[in-house]
Amino acid sequence: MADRADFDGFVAARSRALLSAAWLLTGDWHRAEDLLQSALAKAYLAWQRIGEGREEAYVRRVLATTYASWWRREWRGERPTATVPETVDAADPTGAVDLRLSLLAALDHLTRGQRAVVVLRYYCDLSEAETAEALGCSMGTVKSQAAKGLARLRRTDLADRIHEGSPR
Amino acid sequence: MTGLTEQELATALKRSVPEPASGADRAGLARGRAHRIRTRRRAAVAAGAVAVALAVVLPTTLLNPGRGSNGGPAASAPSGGRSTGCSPDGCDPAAVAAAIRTPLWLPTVSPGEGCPVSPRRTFRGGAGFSGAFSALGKGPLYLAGPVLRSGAVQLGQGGPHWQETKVIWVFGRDYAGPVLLRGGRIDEPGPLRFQHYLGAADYPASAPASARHRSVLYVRGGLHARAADVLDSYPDEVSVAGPGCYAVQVDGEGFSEHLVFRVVGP
Repeated sequence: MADRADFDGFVAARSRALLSAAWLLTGDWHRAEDLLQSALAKAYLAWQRIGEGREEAYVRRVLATTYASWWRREWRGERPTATVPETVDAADPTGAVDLRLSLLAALDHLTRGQRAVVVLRYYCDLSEAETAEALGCSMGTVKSQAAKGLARLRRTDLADRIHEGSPR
Repeated sequence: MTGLTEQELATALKRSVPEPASGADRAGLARGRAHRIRTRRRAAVAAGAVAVALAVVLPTTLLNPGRGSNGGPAASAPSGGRSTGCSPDGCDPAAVAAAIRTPLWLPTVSPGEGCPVSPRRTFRGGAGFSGAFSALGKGPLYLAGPVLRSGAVQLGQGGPHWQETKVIWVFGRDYAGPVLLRGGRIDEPGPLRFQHYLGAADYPASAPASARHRSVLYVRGGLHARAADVLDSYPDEVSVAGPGCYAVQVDGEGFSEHLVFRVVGP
């Protein structure tokens, strides 16, 4: 059983990686922070019930499930008024910004379930079984969601962007 | 349609996650975040009744006109060193707040007058936003988040007594010191409260952590963080009793400013 005092250490050690995953899910640092904060708060309440060594998997699961069910968050009330696209950073000559914007736009084409599967499988490097456990679904669901997600991503310009940035 | 392999997708995902925005080491707040989660949970249990009482009794004493105007335009002198009340290990919120606090004086709006909202400007990005965003204020602190094209701030859903909206306090680049925020409704008596969130401390420190707060303190660089953990934006939730004209007094090192905004329903 994880000791409650370990919570601080876990948060300090793993917040950055979890925040990155949350950013891929939400596409926005503020919503990513909201998501991670909610996940950590839920994890704290269950901390003593989480098996040792299972902490990160637990938080990832809460992260993904909270994201998938977050349809009623108040942030939905926000109405950004400016539509000017993010400008390319002159200090980023490698095209990483272009790729990032394409990636976020492509991820927006996915359902929440597909997006969660894609992030857990291909960013967090979880196996199909681990992803299924994290999301509380079957491996078959993970496989189908991943396949459908990939198919949708292939219909975007993401692949073109990736290949543009690859050595020829 | 171009092929996209699983490996290519994985590589793209890993290449594309940027550093937390604007150089902000948001993950560096983790220690404080963990502390606040613990504190909030404990306080929520211990002081739940107090929170309810505070939410129902809406003190308006903060709205009493004080000693007249307390400041002109922001004299936002960049702060090179750490703020009063801070050491390399962290900051004493009460000491910081005492050092920058000025008497609370909020402008008033007569019936029928329009709300003298602070100017709206558009930032091209940064502060945690993935693209351009609108914000209110003359600086050095700006209100961003649910800012409509009209300059109004839109509420989210709320309960019978309070309605809340998430806002982002954004620091201008020319100010690196702390800010103390207090506010209220200015077209008629009414409260405005702050829900503590990442990077915030209440003032006075003895205020119940679970309650909606009359004031909130931000120390740029973090209350518990190293000097390198410079943040330029802080999330918060503002609670009001309903739509109206509101003002927040922003006290900082060498300035006191008012940020005025109109709140509209969801």
